[in-house]
Amino acid sequence: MSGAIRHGPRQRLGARPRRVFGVMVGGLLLAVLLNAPALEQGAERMPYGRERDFWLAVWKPFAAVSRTFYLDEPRNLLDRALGRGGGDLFELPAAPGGGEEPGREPPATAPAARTPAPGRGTPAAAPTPTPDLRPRLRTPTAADPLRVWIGGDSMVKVLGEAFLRQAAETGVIAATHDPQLSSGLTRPDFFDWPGHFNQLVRSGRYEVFIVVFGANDSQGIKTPDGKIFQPGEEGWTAEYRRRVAGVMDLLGGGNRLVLWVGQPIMRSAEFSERMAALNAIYREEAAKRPWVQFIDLWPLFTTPAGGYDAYLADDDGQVKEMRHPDGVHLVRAGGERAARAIMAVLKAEAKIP
Amino acid sequence: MQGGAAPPPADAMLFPTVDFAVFFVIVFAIAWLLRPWHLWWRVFLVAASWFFYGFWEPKFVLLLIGSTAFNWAVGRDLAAMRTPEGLTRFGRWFLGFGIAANLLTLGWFKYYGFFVHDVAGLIERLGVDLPLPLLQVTLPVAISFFTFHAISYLVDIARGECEPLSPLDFALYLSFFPHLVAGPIVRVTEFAPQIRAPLRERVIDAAPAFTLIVAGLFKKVVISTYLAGEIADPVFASPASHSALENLFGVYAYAVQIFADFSGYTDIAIGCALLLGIQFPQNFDSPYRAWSLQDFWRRWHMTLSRWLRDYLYIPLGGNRGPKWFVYRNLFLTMLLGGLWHGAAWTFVAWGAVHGAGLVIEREVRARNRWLHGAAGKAVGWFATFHLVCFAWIFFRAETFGAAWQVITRIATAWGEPSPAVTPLLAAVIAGSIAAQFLPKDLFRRFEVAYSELAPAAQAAMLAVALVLIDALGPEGVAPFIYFQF
Repeated sequence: MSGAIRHGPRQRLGARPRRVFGVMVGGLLLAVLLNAPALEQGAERMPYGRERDFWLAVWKPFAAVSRTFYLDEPRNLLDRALGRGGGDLFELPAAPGGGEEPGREPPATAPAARTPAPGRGTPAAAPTPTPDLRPRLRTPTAADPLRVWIGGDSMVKVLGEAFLRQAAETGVIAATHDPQLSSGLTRPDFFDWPGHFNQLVRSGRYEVFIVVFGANDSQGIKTPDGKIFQPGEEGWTAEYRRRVAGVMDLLGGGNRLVLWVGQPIMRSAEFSERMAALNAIYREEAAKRPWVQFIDLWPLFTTPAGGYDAYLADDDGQVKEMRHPDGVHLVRAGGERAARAIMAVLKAEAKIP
Repeated sequence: MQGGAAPPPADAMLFPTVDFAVFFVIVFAIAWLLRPWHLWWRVFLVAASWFFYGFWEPKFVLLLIGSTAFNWAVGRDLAAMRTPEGLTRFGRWFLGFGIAANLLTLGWFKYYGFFVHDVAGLIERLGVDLPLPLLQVTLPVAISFFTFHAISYLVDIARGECEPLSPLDFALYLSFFPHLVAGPIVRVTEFAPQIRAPLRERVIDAAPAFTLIVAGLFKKVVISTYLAGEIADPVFASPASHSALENLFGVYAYAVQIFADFSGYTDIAIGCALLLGIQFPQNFDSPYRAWSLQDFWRRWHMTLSRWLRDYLYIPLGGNRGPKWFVYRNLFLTMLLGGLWHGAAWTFVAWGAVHGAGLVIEREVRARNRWLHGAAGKAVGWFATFHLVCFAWIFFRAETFGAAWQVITRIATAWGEPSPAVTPLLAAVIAGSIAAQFLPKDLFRRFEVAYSELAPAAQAAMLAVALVLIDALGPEGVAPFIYFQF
């Protein structure tokens, strides 16, 4: 508890402010030049708008100088070594099929054909639903548990943690939690979900995918032909629908079940409205695909009057804090409630008591 | 976080961002240009600090200004109530009023939810109905730290240890941006002489400052984020999904993560203040090399330990009185220190483990002289590190259930596969702990060598370090853990 506090340096290693300013500004400028492409990419990943335009205008000249004199090469080498970097187009990989591990059953059905990139306002083509495409989950055991992946944006952080706890309680579900904060389907340049999903599917490791997107997706979107649309525009909806459909198709096949979790009501009425619009897309696209089930969280987080409240009565009747003060995310009790809804569907599908 | 889904305080001006770098370069240049004009220099630093605070949430600048005005006025009046024998009777009440007003403000923002959820529930079980509304009160960033600064100022005036500051000096003391958000907790007697004294020489301790800033950035951006994402967060989110080894490494990783995060923050804070010509007290001194709990608290969050000692432990009676009385004071101090960290029973448990540990340690050490020898110190290091890690379980876990699950998994789940424990992870944890045993002279020699380089070479080294940290770090930077306290 006690003890004198020693102050910083014992002997002053002094320098004049002008010299220190030179070192600081020189160091920062050199760092910017060495790092300019990464800074430019960072600005490109910002939501489309004035702030993004400002930072792009700032970094682009530095990036140009950096590339001209190959100052960006050390950073590029580092990024390559660390496996970083990605494009800004949502490129859906070719159908991986079952992606089975040796010894596993071959896929009962092939996934639907990839949905083509739509033109402006063109709705995504949907596969023809057939009863054969509905996955039949095996009944898992402790020795051979059901392999479940749960992931998406920051909304799945607390929800996924609750799901993991509930999965551990069953003793027959082996769940992997994969939240990628700040990510979404609108900005593949920030996190390449199609590439990531492709790897997951090809690994053949998972029998069930539980997917949570939307809270971060209400921002500008870029179509394959380079056009940028803002939320609410027809082109935005068409491109977003294409991506949702593409991910659903990518995850399907190989007897895999996809549980697509919708967004709950939000505190901001405007944000709620946008989430409701996204939920409609998820619901409609899920309805076209027998391997996808849409799980609607909306009614779980509304008051009896249908509005938003951070505090809601839980299943045991006690009023609990369900939502984060930001009016968007879930807190522990909210995560538990959402996870129970998902678990109920999963247990029914896998016949887990 | 892009779009509309950003939990506070992600929008705060975090140290490891371009925003802060631009802000700091501008502040540095203007502050040193204004340095000969003492009044304008202080006015500018106050304005810059309020801008820094308002960058997160402009409306809370009013709270900071309100706290400044209130505490300055109370301090001024308290000084008038001093006599050669101490404070007058009314003065003591007035001091109590000043402290209570600060604590009530802190309590409203920080503990209202805890009170409504936990304490009121207990009272209602006794048959007393407390119809308190359920509210989500946004915790203003830095409120715990500027409240601590304010209380220490009032008590120091009451004790006659310092004179009241002018409104401008007090505003700068309370809101100086390098220490505003998460410390270190600077005493007014350390800070005031530095801002009052006229400028004697325009010299900056640049080499230690740059070293601290780069080391702090590395600890925060690379080490802390890596350990959190790789194992600490997943293990504490779901202990049952992880093996004993993974749970054990999750706890070790959290111990290193919280050190890297918090000491990284204060390193940057101390470095920035040094560049502006202000020296802050040291806040960490290789805490994981401590060979006893008492030694640990001399090395961990040193300015908080000092605050708790001077404004809580000593007023409670300190070392005076019978042994059990001293032990009670020690335990209570740690318990309240735990509650300060967060409005949850798990933080109280963390404080209780440390409080009980300190009491037991005193007894054990008094009866076993061999513990003071080399072998005893080795045993003491191992026991101290693991007791500190054990306490961190309660600090990090969201509930007692989750903490208990971590403990039971560590005790029982051996033999299960542990894919999350990789050689790289083990090396980062071991290396981070081993680094605390490096001789301090090594850093000093580096600082001397750096200071002797030509400015261009210094700038190049700084640039390479910044690029390496950015490349090794994650996309985006999480807020510092201590922002929430």
